[in-house]
Amino acid sequence: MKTETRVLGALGLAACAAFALATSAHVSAQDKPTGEGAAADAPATVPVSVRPRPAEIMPRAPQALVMGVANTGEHLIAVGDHGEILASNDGRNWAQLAVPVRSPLTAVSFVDAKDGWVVGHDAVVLHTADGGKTWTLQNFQPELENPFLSVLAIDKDHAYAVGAYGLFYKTEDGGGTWSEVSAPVIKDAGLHLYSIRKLGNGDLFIAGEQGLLVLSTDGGKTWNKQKSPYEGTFFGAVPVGAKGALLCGLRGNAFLTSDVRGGKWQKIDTTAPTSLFGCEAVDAGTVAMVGLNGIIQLVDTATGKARNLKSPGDTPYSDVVSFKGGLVLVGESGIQHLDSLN
Amino acid sequence: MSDSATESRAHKILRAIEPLIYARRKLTMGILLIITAFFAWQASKIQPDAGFDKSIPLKHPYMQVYKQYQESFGGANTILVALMQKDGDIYNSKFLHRLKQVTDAVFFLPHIDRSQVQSLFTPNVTYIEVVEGGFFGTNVIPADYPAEGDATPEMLAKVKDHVGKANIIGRLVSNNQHGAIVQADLLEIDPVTGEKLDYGQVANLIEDKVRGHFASPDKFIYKAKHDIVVGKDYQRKLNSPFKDGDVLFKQGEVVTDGYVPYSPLKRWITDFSAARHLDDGSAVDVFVSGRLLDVEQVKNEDYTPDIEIHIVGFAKVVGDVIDATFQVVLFFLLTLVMTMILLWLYVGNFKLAVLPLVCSITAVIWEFGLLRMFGKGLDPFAILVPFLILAVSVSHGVQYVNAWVGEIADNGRNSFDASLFTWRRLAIYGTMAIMTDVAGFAMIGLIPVGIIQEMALNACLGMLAIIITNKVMMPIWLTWVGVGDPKAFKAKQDRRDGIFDGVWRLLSNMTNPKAAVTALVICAVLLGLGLWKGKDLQIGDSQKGVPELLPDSRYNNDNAAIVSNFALGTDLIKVIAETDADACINSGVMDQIYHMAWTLDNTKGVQSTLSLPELSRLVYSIFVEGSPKFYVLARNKDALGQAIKPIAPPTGMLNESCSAMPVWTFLGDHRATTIKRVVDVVKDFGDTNSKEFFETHKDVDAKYCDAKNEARRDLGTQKLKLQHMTEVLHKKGLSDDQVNADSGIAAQQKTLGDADDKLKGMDKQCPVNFALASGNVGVMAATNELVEQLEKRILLYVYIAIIICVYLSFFEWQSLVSIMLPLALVSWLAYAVMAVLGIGMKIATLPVVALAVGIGVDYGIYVYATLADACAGGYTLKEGYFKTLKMTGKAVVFTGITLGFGVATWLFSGLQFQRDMGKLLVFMFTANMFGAILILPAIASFLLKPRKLAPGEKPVMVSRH
Repeated sequence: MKTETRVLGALGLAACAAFALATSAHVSAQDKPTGEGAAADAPATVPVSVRPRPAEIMPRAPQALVMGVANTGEHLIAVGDHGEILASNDGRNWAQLAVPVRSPLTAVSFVDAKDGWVVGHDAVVLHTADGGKTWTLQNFQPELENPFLSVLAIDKDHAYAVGAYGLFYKTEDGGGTWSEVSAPVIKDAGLHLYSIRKLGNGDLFIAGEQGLLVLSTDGGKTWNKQKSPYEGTFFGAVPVGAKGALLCGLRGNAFLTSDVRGGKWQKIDTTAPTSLFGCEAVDAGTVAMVGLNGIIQLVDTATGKARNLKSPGDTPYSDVVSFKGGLVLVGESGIQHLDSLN
Repeated sequence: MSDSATESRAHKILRAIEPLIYARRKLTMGILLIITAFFAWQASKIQPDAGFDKSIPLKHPYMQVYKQYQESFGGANTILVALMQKDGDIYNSKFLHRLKQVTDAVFFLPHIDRSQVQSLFTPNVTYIEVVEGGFFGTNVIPADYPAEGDATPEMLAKVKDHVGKANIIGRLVSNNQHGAIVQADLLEIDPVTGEKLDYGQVANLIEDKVRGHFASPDKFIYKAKHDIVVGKDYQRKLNSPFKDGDVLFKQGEVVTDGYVPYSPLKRWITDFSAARHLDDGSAVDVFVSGRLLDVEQVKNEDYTPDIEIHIVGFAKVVGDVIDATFQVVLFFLLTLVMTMILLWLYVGNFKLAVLPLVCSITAVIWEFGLLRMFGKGLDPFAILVPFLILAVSVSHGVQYVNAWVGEIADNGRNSFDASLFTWRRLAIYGTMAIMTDVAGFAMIGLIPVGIIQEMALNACLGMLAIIITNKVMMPIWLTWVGVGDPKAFKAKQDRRDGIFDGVWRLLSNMTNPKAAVTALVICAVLLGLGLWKGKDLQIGDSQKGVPELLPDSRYNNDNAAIVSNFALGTDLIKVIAETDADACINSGVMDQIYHMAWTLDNTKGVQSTLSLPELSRLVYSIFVEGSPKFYVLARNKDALGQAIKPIAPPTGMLNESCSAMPVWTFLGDHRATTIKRVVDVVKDFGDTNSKEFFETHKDVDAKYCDAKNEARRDLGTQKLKLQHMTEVLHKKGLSDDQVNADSGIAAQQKTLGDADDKLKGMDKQCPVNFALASGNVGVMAATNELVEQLEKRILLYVYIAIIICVYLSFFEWQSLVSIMLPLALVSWLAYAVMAVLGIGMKIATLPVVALAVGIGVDYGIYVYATLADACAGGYTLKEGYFKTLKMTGKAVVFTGITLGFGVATWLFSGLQFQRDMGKLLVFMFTANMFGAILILPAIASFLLKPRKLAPGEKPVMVSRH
């Protein structure tokens, strides 16, 4: 399936590609239109996708693009393209659940075995209160033309969602209302926010494009930009220890600190300039990083040393979760697993 | 029983024609011989004439879509050449060098659509890589890759890296990276010269210049035997730079080279392509007949035994079938010889045994001559038609000779009188039987597929020729055949005849009510069985690979090798998503297409899909630094525009205006059930999608959008018409200016402009129209649908035509019931036999239905006519049938057995197609024979009432005509 789903190969890129790319190679946030502007240009007729339509149950969903995965403690929940939410008890057999929307879903976060949120494109927010059996649509704004890229469930009532071009929402009533978070430092930058996490000490930590790092030390009341060790993109952040964190990003750039507030980052030697799109704690002293070409690296957070694992795939991974002594990996070719970390 | 007016009319016709045949026999025969000589000369020039376009139902809506987008998205006439490294992967200098050589060789084949050629070495194959601050894309093979000599290990590593990033593994590079593919499309009509592709020649070239070049240990140098002179040895083409009398190649000069050993016979009939260099350094492609060339064998320096080459494609199938033609003809000859020997045994006279065969071969000569005069060639897939003509002709000839012998032996007539009386008795029945066949084949011609219409024409011409050879030539010839002492001849015939009297006596019991009822009950059971099994009959192909060739033939092995090594295989259907110009930056439109592709992806039998929305996801994610979270369809118009930009029309994923985007759908096989499932999914999706669209877009409705789709199709049709007109003029040798000045062209351009304006005027957005279909499986889908839709109806037409003809032969309803019921039974059983043998109902097998009926009706008419005559003459049913068996029945039995044995040899043919046909024909020849001699009398026994004889009156055998 891996070659099959994306066999665009040669076709993808014609001879004129080089020219087209040369003219538009440097893409920065400023070049991109904002959601509002584009929406104003949109034709008067209503786009088809404007009405949420339930996701279809498709046999090949577990082999198609899957972008996020989480362990609720009882099940594994994975989310992906076409609005698919998949559940598994063993990491191998996956069942697709009924979901009221078919937008691509990017991330998943659970408070406990019962309550959790899923976010995705078209600013979709989905919520479950029964461990994933049923999902309700709490937010759907295709007119924004922006996706949520990461979600953080704090407790039954509180959750944050971050996304493209500084998209930053929260709920304080279990998803009854989702509203924009007032954070000028984020809104002004207008950058993609790829990850929001809660650190060991309760600080809220956001990582994103152009090395953007934002921290809230007061439970989300105020947000402050942190000094960054890198000007490229961070795709993931993981809490390490009581107040530290690990960052993974573009072209093999990964950094470790034992104190985020202190801002002293140690560069991890990742051996290859391969982009790392997701990172997750495996145990107290180890973080797994995954990314382009199916790369899997394990970082010892005590030493900051990274080592490669033999990958079951060669297409990009988006997210990873530790499961039964091994890893469950999700990405462009669907869900794969690794039985051990040797 | 027939009314007297008809009888006298029949008499009048006979009396009118008789003198034409019998009055001046030598003159008539002389004229016939001259015509035969002329046709033989014409027939000698007949060419194999294969065609892709004529094998597809061009009128079918799918095929109109296919033709409309052929220019943008390639056709279905694809050639794949796979190179497989036996040990190790493809990343070594030698392999890549060979791949480049093969790419170049394919590129320069005649009639190749050069913009559609794809391999690692073609510029339309590229990859994209993310770097800080943007991304970077270029050809898979680096620009500094050495043209000659070995590449460095670093360079090879780079190529490997690029291949991984270009995502072509599974399509252009094998799954395990031990092989690579060169893919190309053939254009049947050269758009510049208007010339038609010669498949046999292209197949030879591929075999020689592509496979042979590396797979053959020997090389063959072809030199001119003597000076090759234009006009004498070489016919000039239009716009040829040569004059008559120019010497193309001097004696001993090297004309061309090749790598495949040709047998002397094949070399004799092959035209070799060669380049003649002119003084100004340019070269002209010429074709030189193999009979003008000497061959010299040398060692092939490029022999590469560690690389296997596999080739598949329609052209290759045609080539392999043409190569097998020799063998097919050999089997025909074997059948002929066997028929002759059996005939000799049967009539006990060599001269009489040869006669029906000579007449039959003459009929085939006439058939070929007429075909050639109609400007047609012989299609390799219609190779069975001449044999069918032969078979029908033999069947009639045997009847005729048999009756003639009877006249001499039983009635003691001389040769001339015997011929005349035979003619009077059989001419009308025989001619009507042949006309019945003609009517049957004419009905087959109603199927709107070029190859079938040609086949029908071919068969009709052959049948008409049989009337002349069997009803004119043979009677005249028979008047000259001496039998020596008539008494001795009669005694010999009586003795020979007596041998089987016991059998005939036994068979004549079929007219007893008890036996007849038993037979009819058995028939009913058989019919039930036939209907039950016949339901399993597959439309289209029922196995993998190409059913015309043996499962273990090289072609099918090549096919299996490619299918197993490359994820995408060879079965492709392209669903064309039709919408408005610039639709690819409309996320609503792209979402519909993306969803169609995803639905197909989840359909059983689909291996994978490839479409513009799918590709745009990769580019979009690359714009966002490769993040898989953006590996989705962009929602924003500008982002979508950026994501589409690097994907240019030459990729075959979109047309110039971006109003049409194909969804490439690769299937695991091309079984009819798989195709039907996929087609149904596309149609269902289209319907649901439109319904949902109309719910949210109240400004348009189904009526408006149907009209818009129609306008779009009309525009395509007009475009094709203009293109076709231009090609025709080009072929006449007109220059571009002359073509543009043509009044017809101008008028068509105006029509085209109007059609374009009409479509442009309909500017309201409609749901995407998912039009079926292109790709080889798209063609199969259309063909299968057509066959399924027409098969029963055509059979009905064939039957109606036959019923009319049979009725005109006898003017009595009893004849219809007696003759048609056994025939219908055999038709149904034939379906069951096909189902059991796993032979699918498709274009190539469809005429078999008519064939079965055609052979059966001959038998039936002869048996019924004699039986009815006997009853009218006062014989009891049993005696009458005994008489019938002795007169015409034994000829029917003989013909059935002889032809059955003859075609049984086909089971050893090298063509699976011929084997399958052999099995079917054995069944049909024998089943129809049994139908005519067992079932027909059983039915007739209830319908025919023997004339009551006056006391003392003796029954007589008289023709009712």
